[in-house]
Amino acid sequence: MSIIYYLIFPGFVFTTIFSMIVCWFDRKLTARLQWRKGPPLLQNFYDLFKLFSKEVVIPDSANKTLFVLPLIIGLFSTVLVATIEWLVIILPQHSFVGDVVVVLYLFMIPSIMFMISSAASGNPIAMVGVSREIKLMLSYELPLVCAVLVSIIKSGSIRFVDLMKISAFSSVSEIIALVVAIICFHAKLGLVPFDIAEAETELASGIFIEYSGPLLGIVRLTRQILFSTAPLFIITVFLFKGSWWLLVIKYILIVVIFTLIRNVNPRLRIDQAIKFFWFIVFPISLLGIILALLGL
Amino acid sequence: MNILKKSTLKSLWVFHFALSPCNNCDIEILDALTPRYDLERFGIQLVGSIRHADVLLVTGVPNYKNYKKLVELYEQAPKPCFVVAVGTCSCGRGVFKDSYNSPCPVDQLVPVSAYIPGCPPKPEAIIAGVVKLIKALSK
Repeated sequence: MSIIYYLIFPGFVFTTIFSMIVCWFDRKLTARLQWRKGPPLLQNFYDLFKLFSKEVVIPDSANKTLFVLPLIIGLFSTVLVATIEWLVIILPQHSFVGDVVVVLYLFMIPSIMFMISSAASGNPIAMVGVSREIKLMLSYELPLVCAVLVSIIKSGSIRFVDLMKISAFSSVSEIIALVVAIICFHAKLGLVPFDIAEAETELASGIFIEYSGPLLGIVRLTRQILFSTAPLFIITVFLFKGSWWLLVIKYILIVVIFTLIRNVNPRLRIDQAIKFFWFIVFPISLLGIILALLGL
Repeated sequence: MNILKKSTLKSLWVFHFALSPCNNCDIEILDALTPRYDLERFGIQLVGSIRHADVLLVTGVPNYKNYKKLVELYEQAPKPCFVVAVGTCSCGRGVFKDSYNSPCPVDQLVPVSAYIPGCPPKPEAIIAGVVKLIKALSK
């Protein structure tokens, strides 16, 4: 049964199709914001099929195992995150003790795997991207954990089902934690103000420079599934209370917030991003924890 | 038409390589990618790395310093990769035909799939050229 969960319904097949539609919505909204028509609904499917029909080029300087294997591990762990999230929402009896911690760990794995894989490619530009990604990760992980900690303090539990019983609009600390979590997830997804490791115009795609054909397809699929799963995590930790149609509206709103932030901001330098997270976002999240401990 | 071929034609990712041009063609290419002409509705995107590319856009005349780079770049691209020559210079070297520093035209170095003449071609001409390329490939 768990194999079916993982591979078909809330897992691989369903999440792939769902994430394609969410990413199409993101691209279409971007296009409308820039006053153009935008891609057709099936554009992400075309991109993926095309990438899987192309040739793989693996550079001579690359360590082949380390170049290919981490991408597959990253995809599997991303699908696992999506499966856990959907199962918790649809069938809450599948929630287990500590699943919040597990999901937080699994959310880190794709970035780590991208770093290992592109560091093994032997491309100097990819190495610059890897070093930036490491710094970015060190800066956004701590505020994110603090933000989730606020919800954990409020509910007194590390299970999703208990976190789902609290609402973000019940207290000041929860609202602070929600804002911090959205900013941190923005950096985790590598969207525009924080796409420092990718930096298409500056580093020629940075950590993704050496992937071609199916490997690039796996990378894109992983990032799309992450993009569609991050709002689910934010909803289950902070915003779950309410009826189901309200959940759909919340999901769409969070995706719209991501898209708006990525369309109106220019790319930050890596030092600006680190300063932003360590000296602005992290103190705010600490304030959230203190307020939560005081019961506000 | 099978689905893989159709998806290739629906999502052509473009890598732009400037072979020492006068930059007019490059400006027109950037124009064609602006929101006014909106090439993303055909699935066309500008990518930063040749490993992601399906189309290699070439502008300018090959000279002794960079003609080997073009061949190298074409060999690095994952196949199928289509080369499009934009502008009179890369189509047939134009006024630089008998120049001392130009060894050969682009189509003697790599197989060119589409020629878009003009000095520089308008963005509309570039889009028409890409549409002709897609029509020729879908047969």
